[in-house]
Amino acid sequence: MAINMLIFPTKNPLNVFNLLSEIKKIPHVKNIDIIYPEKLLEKAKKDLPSEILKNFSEKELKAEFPYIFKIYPLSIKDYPALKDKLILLTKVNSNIQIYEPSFFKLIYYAYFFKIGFIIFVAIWSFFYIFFLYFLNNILNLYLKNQTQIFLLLGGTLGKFKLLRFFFLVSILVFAFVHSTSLFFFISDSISSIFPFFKFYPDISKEKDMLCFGIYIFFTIFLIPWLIILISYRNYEI
Amino acid sequence: MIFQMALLTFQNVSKIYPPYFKALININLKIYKGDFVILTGPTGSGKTTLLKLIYREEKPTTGEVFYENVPYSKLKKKELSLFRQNLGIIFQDYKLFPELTVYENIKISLVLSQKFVENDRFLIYEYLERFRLSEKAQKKVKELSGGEQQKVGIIRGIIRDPEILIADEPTGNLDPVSINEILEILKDFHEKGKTIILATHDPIILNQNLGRTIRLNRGELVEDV
Repeated sequence: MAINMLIFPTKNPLNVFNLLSEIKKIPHVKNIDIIYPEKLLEKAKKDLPSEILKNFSEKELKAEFPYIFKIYPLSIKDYPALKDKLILLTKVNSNIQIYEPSFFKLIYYAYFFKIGFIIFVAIWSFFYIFFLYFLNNILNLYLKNQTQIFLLLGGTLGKFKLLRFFFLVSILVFAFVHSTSLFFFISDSISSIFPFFKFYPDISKEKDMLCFGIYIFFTIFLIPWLIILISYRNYEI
Repeated sequence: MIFQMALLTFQNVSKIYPPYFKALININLKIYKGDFVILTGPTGSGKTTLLKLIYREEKPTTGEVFYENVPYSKLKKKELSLFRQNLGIIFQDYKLFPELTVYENIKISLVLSQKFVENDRFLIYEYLERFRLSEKAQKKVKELSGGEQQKVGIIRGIIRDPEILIADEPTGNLDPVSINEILEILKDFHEKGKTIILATHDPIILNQNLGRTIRLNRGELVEDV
């Protein structure tokens, strides 16, 4: 959890960096991330009317965007003290604003969303597994006679299962690519409107990507394969 | 006296279809290699169920079926598949792939039997010629008459040269000429030392005195001569 500080640049950008070194000196600060006006402008460009882009130079537009300092406290305990110090800074610098939701509200929402997220994941998993099982059973039922003749003639279902797996995986990969592109497109659009919006997974973070990879492995490969094996159990003779 | 191990053994086998239809009741039976077994009895006496227990389409409710003293229940999937590759099954309801051609239906049987045949195309056409079906080789099975489908089912069963041939009412839809042709084929097969288990109540076949006759009635084995 970070405190976001918006700094509207004066004519001398050095002031911003002086301010940064001032904040760094505050003992409660663990880390500061800087979002530059260039980055904000870049994200906002696609949503700005073309007239604005034509009539104003990049330099002029950039001047309208703030620097954003994402200031991370050492711990939650340091949060109130850090906030007090930063409020003092805003009082002596008119071009600084603190942008942060209420601390307790944030904790409350974080807690609420954690439970909500778990419920969402549970419902989503249930529907996903049920849907795959249902789809497999429909296919099994449709192919029941052919499967049984094949088995009675001495065949085995190994290749059938693999074929079914590739069929399912190809559909799932297509659906996944489609929904992921949509998700990233929406996230990107939201983040251009709200610069603080943080979406998952963050491709620059190894841990995020690892968790995302595990999620993909489970949903696209492992769960479908297990469901195929389970659904075939009633049809093997 | 030379001890001969039974090829198939039924030990106290009963089959009850839910909720309480007793299809087979306490069957004890041994079938030896080279036997020509005629299973007979009225409709609903349990002939088809007994055959299904042999090729394991059904499992017994109680008792055990053995193949060369190995209980079926101990066979793994791969072993069961290998066992079925040595069977030639002629089904009462044909069990053909309706969307495939006559040729493809027979070819699948040959492929699944895992037996190497040098010129399988020639062999398939030879059988089709024998059953006067060569002109229909590329027709879909669903376009054939009942009698023709039955002939395809018979070819599919025998072309793989199985150790055990199981035939369930193979002559039900055939004319007397075709029945006699099939009987000749079955006799040739038997002379090669193959085991044949044939379920029928066709008088033409029963009057031939082909081998051992097992009579079932209401699920019970009533005669074995």
